[in-house]
Amino acid sequence: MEESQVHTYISEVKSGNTASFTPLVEGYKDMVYSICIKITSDAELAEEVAQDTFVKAYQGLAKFKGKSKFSTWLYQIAYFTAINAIRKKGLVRNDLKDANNIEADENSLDNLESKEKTEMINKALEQLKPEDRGLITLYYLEELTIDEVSKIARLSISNVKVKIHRARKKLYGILNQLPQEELNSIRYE
Amino acid sequence: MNKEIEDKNLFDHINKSEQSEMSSNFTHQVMSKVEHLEIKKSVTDKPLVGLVGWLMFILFGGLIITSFIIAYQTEEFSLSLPKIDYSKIAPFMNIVLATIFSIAALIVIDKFLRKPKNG
Repeated sequence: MEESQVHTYISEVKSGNTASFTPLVEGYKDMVYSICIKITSDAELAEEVAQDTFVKAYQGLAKFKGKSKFSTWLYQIAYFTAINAIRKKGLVRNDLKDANNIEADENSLDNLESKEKTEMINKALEQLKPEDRGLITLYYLEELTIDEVSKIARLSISNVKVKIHRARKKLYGILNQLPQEELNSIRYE
Repeated sequence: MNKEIEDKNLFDHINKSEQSEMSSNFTHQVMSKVEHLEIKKSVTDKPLVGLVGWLMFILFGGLIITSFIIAYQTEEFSLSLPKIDYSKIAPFMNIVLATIFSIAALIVIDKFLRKPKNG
């Protein structure tokens, strides 16, 4: 959706035409749901978070001045709503050792099949802190630039770089540490 | 192998994997929630000291400086600064300094408290 068209819809909503919010939801629902499902790894929660994102966006439309892209602004709301939802639901698995102390072995997944890899990566992502998971999602999965991630997460560019580097290291560490039994259970399911 | 290529390979598995889809009436559900809500009015930040305040402050300062110059003006030409009896001015100066300091402090606090936001 073109930015000028987005601004037209926003002006209409601001002037009281609630129905003009429908094309905005239609146009951005896939994008919002995509980031929500990647951060939460829970379809039901992701849909709930995606709905909350649009409700918050609607209520806060007066704050949107058009200084950034509407999609960036929406990403920001979705990002914070999603990581807050994980925190509230306690969806961080802590059954492994402290991920900070694990030496990262980036070749640990080399022998796995594609589907197995996906499951392992998802399991590893679930064990990261909500903020780390959010940053990894934005940078690696949503393929946004560091500059865009810094705007969405309200962090400085250097801080984003450091946090992503650490999160990546933790992720590889967790992948390397996932128990062999779990690996086998995935293999023979 | 280059780290970036390795990361790309790793995360491509998730991007290419089948993602669950949201319910077909997603938009309808959002719109039914939104219809009962009002858009929150945006709060605009106003400066602690406005234009009128600054003008009054400059006028006040100007008046004080002018009054000092007039009060201690001597008709004789002298390169040395006029002698001022500070004991007479001290209590008055304290008020002026306190005012300047408080305004400066308010401006600094205000600048630190406000954070730039997207949008």
